[in-house]
Amino acid sequence: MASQTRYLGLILLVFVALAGTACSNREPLPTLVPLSTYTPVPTYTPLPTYTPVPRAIPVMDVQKKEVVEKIVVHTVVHTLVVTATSSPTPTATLTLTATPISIPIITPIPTLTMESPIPLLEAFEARIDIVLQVGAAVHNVTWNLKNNSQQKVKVVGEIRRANGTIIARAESSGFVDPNGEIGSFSTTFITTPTHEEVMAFQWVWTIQTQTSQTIVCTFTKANPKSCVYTSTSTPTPTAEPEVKVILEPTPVRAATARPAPTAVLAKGVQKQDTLPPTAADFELADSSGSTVSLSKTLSDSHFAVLVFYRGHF
Amino acid sequence: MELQQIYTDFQVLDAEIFGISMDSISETTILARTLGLTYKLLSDPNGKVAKEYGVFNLLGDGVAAPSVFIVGPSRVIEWSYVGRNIGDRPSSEDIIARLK
Repeated sequence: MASQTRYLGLILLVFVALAGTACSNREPLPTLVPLSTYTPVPTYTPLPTYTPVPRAIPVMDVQKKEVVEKIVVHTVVHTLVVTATSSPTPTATLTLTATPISIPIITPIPTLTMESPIPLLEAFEARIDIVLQVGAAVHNVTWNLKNNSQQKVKVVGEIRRANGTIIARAESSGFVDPNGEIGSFSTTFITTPTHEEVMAFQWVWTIQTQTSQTIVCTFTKANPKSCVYTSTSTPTPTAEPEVKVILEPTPVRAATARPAPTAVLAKGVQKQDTLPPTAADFELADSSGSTVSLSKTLSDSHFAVLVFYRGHF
Repeated sequence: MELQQIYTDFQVLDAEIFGISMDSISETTILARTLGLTYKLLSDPNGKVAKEYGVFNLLGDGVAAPSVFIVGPSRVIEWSYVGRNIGDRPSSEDIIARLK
């Protein structure tokens, strides 16, 4: 134990010696320099209150610019004056002058005209008006003929389909005076044609003049003038003072698709014996927007009269 | 128009008139309004009813032949007339006579 104590003391002595050596090798600390005297910060002076500078509201400046486009036409007359002199060096002087020249307005001088008679073939003019059209279906047209000739004429007019079928016929009773007009006939189509079909219809007028000439004019709605002389005899007008319009139905095709119960029909009203005794019930929309039922109708009325029509009664 | 003029005669006989065509409902409406019809116009655009009554395309033109049917109580067909051409139809007086 005593040897240990001596040993520790020796170590401590060596350590102290080493520490002293280390301290002797360090640099000396710098000399302390006293701080300069404190200078106080200048007293804070508040800034002056901000007063907003009044700001001028910019006014939109619309500049009106008128653009005047003026076209000035000047007639420039170039005059070339060539002066020949006896001098050894002839000179040519070119003088340009711009002289506006007013253009005189030409006033037509009224001339005396002598009315020449219209050629007979050009003297007839038709007019065709569609009076009632529902959708594409044309129900009614009016048509007439104007006689621009200097003669009295007798006329017969027909409406024909494109295939030549006569739809309606009108006939003048007496003479149509010069510059007179025949019509206006009103034709209601039983089978309503379409507008397109009407445009293809032909209005054929056979015109007999006082000079015993016969003219046939074939008009369409789009072409109101087309007349030729013909040698065919003209229908004799009746003595009645009125103009008649006679509707002629289209020839009926063979009823090949006709069902047996209605195959045989006599002229005039026929009592139907072969139809089924009971009518088929139906519900159809009517023109007022409601639905009509046959059975419902028969509960309110004793009879229902069903009229199948084709565009017009 | 003819039917319209004596429509009251039909009403007196307790009969209701229905005009049936294959026109569209809009065309039917315009026609009724234009002609001032007070009886009903029915639209049968596909011809269904015309076929059921055996009058469709009888004239070969794809629509119903002009025809008249008087239908009585219990939907019994009292009388009918089918036109042979487009202008063949009974007069209103004929129809009235059949109702009496």
